[in-house]
Amino acid sequence: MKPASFNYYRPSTLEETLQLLLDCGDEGKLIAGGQSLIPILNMRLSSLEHVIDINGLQELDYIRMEEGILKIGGLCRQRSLEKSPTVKEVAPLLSEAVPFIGHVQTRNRGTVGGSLVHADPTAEIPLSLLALNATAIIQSAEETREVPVEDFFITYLTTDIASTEMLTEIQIPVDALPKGYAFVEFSRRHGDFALVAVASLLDTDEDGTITAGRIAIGGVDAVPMLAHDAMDVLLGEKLTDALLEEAGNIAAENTDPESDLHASREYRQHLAKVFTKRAIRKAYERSQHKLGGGRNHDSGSQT
Amino acid sequence: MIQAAKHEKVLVSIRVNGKLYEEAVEPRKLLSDFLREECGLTGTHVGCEHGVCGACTVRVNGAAVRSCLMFAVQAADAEITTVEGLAHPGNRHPLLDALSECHGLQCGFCTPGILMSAAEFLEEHEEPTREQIKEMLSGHLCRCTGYKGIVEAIEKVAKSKRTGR
Amino acid sequence: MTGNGSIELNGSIEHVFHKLMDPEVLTECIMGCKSMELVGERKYRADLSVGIAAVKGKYDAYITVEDVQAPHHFKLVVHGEGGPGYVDAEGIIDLTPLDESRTQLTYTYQAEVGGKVAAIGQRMLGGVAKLLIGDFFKKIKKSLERGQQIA
Repeated sequence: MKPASFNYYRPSTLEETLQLLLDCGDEGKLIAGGQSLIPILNMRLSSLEHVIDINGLQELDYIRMEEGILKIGGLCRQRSLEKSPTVKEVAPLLSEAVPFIGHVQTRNRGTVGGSLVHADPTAEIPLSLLALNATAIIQSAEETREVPVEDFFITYLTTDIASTEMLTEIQIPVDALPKGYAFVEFSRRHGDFALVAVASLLDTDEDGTITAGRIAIGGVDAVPMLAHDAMDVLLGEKLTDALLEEAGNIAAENTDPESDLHASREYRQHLAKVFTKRAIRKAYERSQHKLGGGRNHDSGSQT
Repeated sequence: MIQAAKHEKVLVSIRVNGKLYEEAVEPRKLLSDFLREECGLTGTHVGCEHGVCGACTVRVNGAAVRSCLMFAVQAADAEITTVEGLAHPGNRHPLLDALSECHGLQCGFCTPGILMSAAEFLEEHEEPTREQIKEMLSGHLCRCTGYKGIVEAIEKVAKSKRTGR
Repeated sequence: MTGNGSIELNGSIEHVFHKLMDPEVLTECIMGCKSMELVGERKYRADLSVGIAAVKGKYDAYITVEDVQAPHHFKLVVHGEGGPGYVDAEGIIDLTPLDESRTQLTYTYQAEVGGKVAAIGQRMLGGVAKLLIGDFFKKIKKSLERGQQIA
């Protein structure tokens, strides 16, 4: 099918864009990579009054490090993130997550900002940015505000961004983050939407004690969620099989997934447990390896 | 700023396979339809129109993209390569013969999209592993071949590029 | 998909029941409902604009109130058809008095969604349905609270 007709604008500057957003109000929608929006338009699941195409705003396509903060422009293509040596060095969680996003062909157009604002509950970028404690910079013609990604998601496809606002940058405080990382995902076919995905960061000391971390789970609720309680049982402990099992159970108990055509509620909760355990173990091993210990926790069992 | 009201057309100028096309179309005109209808290049196939099958894949400034997920107006001033561009006389992409030799196509519907992705892939990977090839192909649905012949064709071309044989 | 829920409302059981039967209240509380017109015995026609974020669609809906056992039980049957697809839903509402000025409302629903929106949005349908239905009852609650403040 083809989209219904709309009023089309292609601004060349950020100022023009913000003014357009203000003028169009509730009826304006930005298009960036279009990999989520155009299918919706083609299927006529949405008809838009004003489409504002921001692909001309090259100044928003960047990746740079500034004083310990990784700054990614809203229009940065997912493929650029995937190939970036800077990202691999300072935020390897993202480098591990991005290849799970769709396919190369969609990553060539899809943007980091677009994915965050679209807020699919199973999407890799919102989940990773939640784990990475990122901040979203939101601009309108009237003001600029900073929103922690932790507070950004409201429900399915809905975030704390008004129709007159635009996400221009994502900031990740990489220097302050735990160094052990893991991104794991389960889907029926490669490139499918995840049934469940887990992003984890962990810090350990030379003893093998877990000192800090974040665990984020996607696909188990209307928005990506942080597994606070699971993380709490890990803090101050060395990783053992029993502790891993406990953390996995707590993480799964705190999820509230729906049953659907692709997976039942029980199956998603089971996946949440299994993949939380895998992510924690992987992040733990990587953290230990970075310290030069290369120590594994005491178990060889596969879960 | 470019702008157009509903049902209003804009002049879109796109270079496809080295040739310049200038046509007036509505902004909602998909690149896939522009290539097939305005440019007459029907090698690019339209399968699902919501970005899952990959049959419509073309290269925009070298990058393989789903042309059903782009408006023609967004490709203005870009260099597009379609499957027709792989078969210029005297400049035939080795994948075309390799695919045929390895039985990598039957109905041929998915083939143009796969060729474009594979062309980009081969430029970026000198010694691709089977895993990498399969990963690149994951964005393409083929109901006929079972993918085996396609993977072999790509391996064959990669190898002959390396060894010159 | 199926679901259930429960909410505490301000008002006596008779008052709450009366409110739920009022088409003006329903128009106000059903998300995206522009208007409701009576087209038969306890049967209404409504134009609904329903969805989440940019994925909103227009549905031509028929809402019937059945199995009325005043003031503690009734069934709502909804059939909606529109561009994005169709919806067939049934909700059973039970009211229990908590005291003279508070009532407990419990609901169960089952819904079938078909068409494009179901094909593309399968993985979010259950959650969105829960959200929209929850939203309806929250609005009912607010409407009752407002009524109390004026009264």
